[in-house]
Amino acid sequence: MIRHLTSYIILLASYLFFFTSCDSYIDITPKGAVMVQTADEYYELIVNPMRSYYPSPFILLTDNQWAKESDILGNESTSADGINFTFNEQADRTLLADNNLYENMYSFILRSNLVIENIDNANGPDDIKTLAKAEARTFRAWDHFLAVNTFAKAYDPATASQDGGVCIVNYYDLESTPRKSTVAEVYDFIIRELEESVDLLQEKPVNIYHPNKAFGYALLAKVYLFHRDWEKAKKAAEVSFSLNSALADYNLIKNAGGTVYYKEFAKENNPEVLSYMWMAGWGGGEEVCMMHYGMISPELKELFASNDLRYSIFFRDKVTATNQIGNWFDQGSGAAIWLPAIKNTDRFTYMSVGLRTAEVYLMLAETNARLGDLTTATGYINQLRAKRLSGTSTDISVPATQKEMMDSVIMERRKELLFGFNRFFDLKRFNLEPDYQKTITRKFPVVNISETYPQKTYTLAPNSRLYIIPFPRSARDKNPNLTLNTDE
Amino acid sequence: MKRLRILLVILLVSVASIVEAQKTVTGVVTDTKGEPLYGVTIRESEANNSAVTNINGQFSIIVSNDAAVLLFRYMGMEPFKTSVKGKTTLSVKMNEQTTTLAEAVVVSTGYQRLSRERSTAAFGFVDSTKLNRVMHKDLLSALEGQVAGLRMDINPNTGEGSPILRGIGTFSNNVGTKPLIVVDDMATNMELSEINPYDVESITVLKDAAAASIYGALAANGVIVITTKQGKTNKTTVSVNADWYISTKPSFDAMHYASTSDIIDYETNVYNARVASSGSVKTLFDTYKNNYYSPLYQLYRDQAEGRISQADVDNTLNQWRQNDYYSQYRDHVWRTSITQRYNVSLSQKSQKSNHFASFNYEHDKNRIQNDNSDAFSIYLKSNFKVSKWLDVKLGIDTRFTNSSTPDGSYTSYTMQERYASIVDGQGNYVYSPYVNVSGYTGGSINGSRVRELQEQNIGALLPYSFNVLESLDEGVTKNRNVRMRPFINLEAKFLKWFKYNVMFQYEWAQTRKEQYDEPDSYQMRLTHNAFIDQTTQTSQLPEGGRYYQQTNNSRRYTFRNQLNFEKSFLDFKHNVNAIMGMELRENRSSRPIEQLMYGYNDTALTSVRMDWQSLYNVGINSLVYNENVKMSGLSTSQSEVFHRYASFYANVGYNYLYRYNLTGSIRWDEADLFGLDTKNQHHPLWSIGGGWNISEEQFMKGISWLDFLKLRVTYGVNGNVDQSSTTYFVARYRTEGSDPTNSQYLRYTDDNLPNPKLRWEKTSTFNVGMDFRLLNNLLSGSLEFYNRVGDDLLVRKYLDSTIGATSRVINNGKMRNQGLELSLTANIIRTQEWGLTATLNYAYNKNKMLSVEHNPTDIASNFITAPENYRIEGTSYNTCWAYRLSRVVNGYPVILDADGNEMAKFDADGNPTEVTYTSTLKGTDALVNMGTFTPIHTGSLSLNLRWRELELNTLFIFSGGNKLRLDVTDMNSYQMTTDHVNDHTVKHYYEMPTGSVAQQNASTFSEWWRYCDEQVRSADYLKLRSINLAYHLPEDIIKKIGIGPTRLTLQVNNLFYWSAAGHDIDPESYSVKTGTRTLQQPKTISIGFSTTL
Repeated sequence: MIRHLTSYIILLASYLFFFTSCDSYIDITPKGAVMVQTADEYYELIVNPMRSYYPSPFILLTDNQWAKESDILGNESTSADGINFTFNEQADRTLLADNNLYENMYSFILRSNLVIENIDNANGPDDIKTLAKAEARTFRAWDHFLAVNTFAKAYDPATASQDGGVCIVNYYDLESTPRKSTVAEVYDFIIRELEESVDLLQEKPVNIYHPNKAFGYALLAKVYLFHRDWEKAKKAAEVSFSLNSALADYNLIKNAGGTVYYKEFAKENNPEVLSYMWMAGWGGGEEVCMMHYGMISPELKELFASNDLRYSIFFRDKVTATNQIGNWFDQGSGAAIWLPAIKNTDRFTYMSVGLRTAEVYLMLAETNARLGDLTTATGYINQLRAKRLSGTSTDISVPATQKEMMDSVIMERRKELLFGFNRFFDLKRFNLEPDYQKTITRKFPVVNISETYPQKTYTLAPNSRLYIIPFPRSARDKNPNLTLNTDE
Repeated sequence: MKRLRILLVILLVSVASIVEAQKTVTGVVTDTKGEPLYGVTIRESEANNSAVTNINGQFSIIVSNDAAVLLFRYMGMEPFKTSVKGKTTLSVKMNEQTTTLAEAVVVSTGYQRLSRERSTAAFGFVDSTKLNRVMHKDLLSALEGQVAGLRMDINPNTGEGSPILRGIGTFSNNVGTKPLIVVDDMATNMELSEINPYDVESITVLKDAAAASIYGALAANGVIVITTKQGKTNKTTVSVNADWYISTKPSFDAMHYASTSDIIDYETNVYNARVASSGSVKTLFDTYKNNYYSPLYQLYRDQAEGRISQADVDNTLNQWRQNDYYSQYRDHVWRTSITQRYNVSLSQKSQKSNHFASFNYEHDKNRIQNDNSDAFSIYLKSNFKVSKWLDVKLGIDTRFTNSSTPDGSYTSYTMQERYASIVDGQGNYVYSPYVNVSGYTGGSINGSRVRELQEQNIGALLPYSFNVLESLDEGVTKNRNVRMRPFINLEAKFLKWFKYNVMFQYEWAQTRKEQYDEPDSYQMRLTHNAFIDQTTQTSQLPEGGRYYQQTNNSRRYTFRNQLNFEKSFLDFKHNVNAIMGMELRENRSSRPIEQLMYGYNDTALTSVRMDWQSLYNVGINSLVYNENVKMSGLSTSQSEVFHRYASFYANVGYNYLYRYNLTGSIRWDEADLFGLDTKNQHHPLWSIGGGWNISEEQFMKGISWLDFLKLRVTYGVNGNVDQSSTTYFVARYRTEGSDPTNSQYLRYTDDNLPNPKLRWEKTSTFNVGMDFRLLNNLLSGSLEFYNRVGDDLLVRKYLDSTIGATSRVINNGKMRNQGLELSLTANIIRTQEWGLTATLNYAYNKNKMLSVEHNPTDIASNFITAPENYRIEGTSYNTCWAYRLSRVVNGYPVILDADGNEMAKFDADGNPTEVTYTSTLKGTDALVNMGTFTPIHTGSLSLNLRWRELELNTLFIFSGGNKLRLDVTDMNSYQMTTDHVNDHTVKHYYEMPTGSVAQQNASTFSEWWRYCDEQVRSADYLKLRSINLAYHLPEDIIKKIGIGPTRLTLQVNNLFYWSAAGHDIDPESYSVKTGTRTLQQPKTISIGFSTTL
């Protein structure tokens, strides 16, 4: 009897054991990694100090830039730099090795989509969710804006609804095949996203890598400006201006003896930076690639007045033992190079891609000029110049015509908004207007002239197909919808 | 948990049958030692009645008449015949068949023990006699050639094998190809090489799904089940083994080295060519900055700078031509390596208990001086019959290893140039002024820089002079490892047919490593000098040595509950056995403990506190290197591994009349959250199988030459766990160096993105097998055919980057392995005095990747150099791709592109004028598929010849069907050590016109030559792995001394090989993909003594 009892107890014990749930047993989270689950974690996901964009597909197309000759000679039809610098329209850019720019943009879009798609099902307070979605949508709009202006024609009200744009990706699905939209559709999407989000942004987020309200409105203003809604652009810029109109006074740097001695605008302390986004390149993030693409053209160099601190503080045109710029720079080319020392962000934070208040000043000047208020426009320009030029006579006078005013704005934009997408986008949009379009000419080489490489003059017509960057090969191979926006 | 209820129902299924009223005979069958025999078939002569003994040796049979004659048969035993006239109970003792090889009778799957005749699965079985017939250093080498289909992939550098069963079945590096190792019924982390071969009773290799799918998501690579020994007799048995393994110094003969003089001439030619193409001696040496270049270059530089005369150069060269660094290294640094192993094991059995204990000590004196290791292991295992219904088994397996290893910078005989020397004619040390060693920071240094520094008279500068014999005991790494595996198994019998097991096994391993560099060691002198500050001229490195310490711990446990059911119904006609159970496992590797000290005093055990922040992050301006030098330090992040698994399983076997077998198994596996989403884990892995003992059929009775014939068919699905993939969205906090605010943020890669469709890798195997025994056991063996398809394999898929990710690993791969396996044993001679047995194991394996993706932009050379990572659908894994050689023009090889155009153009003189970069070739369109690098045919032949007390064993290994690349002239090499210096089939760098297109593209030409189709050869080889002579002490002598069986063994390994490629290429010591030679495994002489008390 006892033996039987033992047997039954064993049987019962084993039975009970089998039926115990094991889900909690295997429910463990190892250390060293985070499973992104809560609303707070999704909110943190928006922070991305590595928001950097690879500029090589387009950067040498602009009249602002110059290149080291050894990087170009012999590569006139085989590298993006060679094709862009020599304005080689005959070259087949579709055969070029892929670059990371397209990938950069869409990987940031995916980061936003992950937040937008998943945060509603995550645990956490609703206000965080609302904020996170607004921030993610702002960034998503920003990346679509960069993409459409890089890979498609600039917005032209007459043709935008027929012009091929880029894919709008507003969902997370790794197995989908996105469809290409028109330029008009992309702009409609961007504007809708921003209009619904910017008001929800915080004025001072916990971390500088979250988009703030001043950035949101500045971006909205920029999109309206490119969309040619002058009135709306002006209003949005004014909201941004009311939230942050600070400018870094370059005279302070000059008086201290240079950025090495005046570090108050370093790291996150440049008061005019609205968003932290960089040009990527050699060796990783931030402005490292300034070394390679940090050369400004002789033409731009000549535009700077002698008292313009934007040149004298940051650029050099002579190789010395201390500045060690010889590796990236051809002495005697007439160009000037951004001092590599500046790349050390301990000393000065320059935003090549992200927006700054300075751009808001310039947008206010442009919208006022477009709307005919030349006095106000001039006022904004002069406010900016006061912080950028040394001496007492920094002001320009109110011009007589709208065209002259616009020329001043364009000139100031060239000098103020260096590197990144700035000049490339401006050339594309102004080239649609007969008054402001420009044929770029460039004499090259200047230093290494030889029989193999005689000096020639290269020109880039305002309507050149080079201004539209082809989609990368890997994406085209996998996505049949991605037809080129050019006739290559 | 609904499925468990269903299982219970299955378990209790019984089949009805009709009872006939005849005489029933019951009884028990044992061997001569009184051990019950399980699975003995009993058949009535002249009638169709039969039975099989159960695990206790008991049987019950219905016979047709009172005078029936019963025939007892059991593999490995003499057949036994008896009449049952007047008896209803029988007690049968069966005698061992003296002349047979012990065949597998009861095999262990780790979850249950099965008579082979009742199983449907494909097993490979090796017992201890077979394992220890030839001497082996460890269990891994003992398994080589023993099981058809289990191949050893031999690492050409170390000579060590890694087991691969039935080909490579997964693309995932995290899963790998290693079969699961099970010791005493529990899966373990141990390596085969860590298991003492003398503790092993038998090894069962589970090949097909019916055998292995009970292991579910662990078993796609197959399972190796190891059963350890236990007490067999009532007497206390003591076995003693003493073994010595003596490895001679390897020979350089097969390396085809050039003579020192030829090397000097070659390097001189290259030097002159390089000076010519750089323009001047100065420009050439400017490119080196402070970095190392050879003493010969230094000599020429000194001459060019006017420091020495032509006569000095000639004198030095003449002297150098006499030197041979390699053979000096061989003579002075190497030694005959000796492994000694002593093993004592005790076993005892009584009515109520059974004990086994063993102690093993091993001492290795390795080839390089100061490279030694010791290992102790103790294994204790006891079985207690606590009561009639409860058995307890418990034990512990421990292993301690201590080893010391010299600094890796000094252990290669190529560390210095061939014309350098270690000792002079009088045996005095020869000091080199500097050598190509980097120190812990800074980098290597060259002769001119060393001289400059010495001339500056810097007080802090320590000498750079070096002699390898002095440095061999510097910076020796000491490892102390412990491994423990305690286990317990409770077995309760109840309700007659049920048994309930609770098993628990814990594994703990600790590895400790420490390295001490003396203050005056070469590495420390280099490091000290690197930290001499430019301004202060003093070294920022504290005075003293360097001490590094690291400890790693890992632990793992398995907990299993299992219910066993075994019952025969209706007079043993229907036999059902079933198991069901659940298992919990945890695997953990803790964060390592690390420490690094400088300024260390090994006597006082003190160190100097360092300013890591400034030395590591900022660095100093080094006087020696003329640039900023930073201290290398420990990592600032840690990692740990922690996984849990829960599994449920069941297995049912049904047997009718001992002829027809049906088996089925099923298993669910669940892993923690970082593996899969639980909802995707509920797909069971399963198997079914059928077996037919044809020879038991009435209609086969007439065939007298056929002793035994069985057919088996199985199909089932196994799985693989890759814990690096996850269904969930995983990110890590990181600080980005270039972020101005240094903030932490969540970072992820494309592979960390949520993948809700992720699931287990699945491998389904179809297996047909046949076991046979003919002509009274003259010939026995088995034949298997399998089709193994890995599906849902994790493989990289390339995406449209518009989606936001460029590629990711998903369940998208499919790979097939098909094969044939034949095992044959022939007992050719079986007399009292003479015996000859031959065993052949042969396996054929063909692999094809049915679904895999490659990136269209991948360049052709990737497919050539790393076919295991760059794969083309429809080809086999590890495909040998080659460039298509068009012709050799004037010593320049030219290959063809995909359209058949030559990749280089030549002028009228045969000099290249234009070379297209090889990187423009994408994919494999321009390549030729030459076959595979993985062997297709593998196997072994072993012969065992016995004459009275003498025994001769030989083991041949063969492998073939695959390809290798010849070692060819390196056209762009600056230093050439092989006899290719004299080969001018293609041009050497120095033979090309100075500054020509050819010279600029020398590496391209070299790559074309090395990897073209002309250089591919067959990798077939046959090797006499071992030949072994054993002498058994005659019985009358051992009886006189009062000891048990005693044996003396002499063995030679790696005596001979034949290789299809020729050119002294032994594919086992040769990198088949790159075509580079490594030292051939030296001959090993082993002496062994074993006795029992």
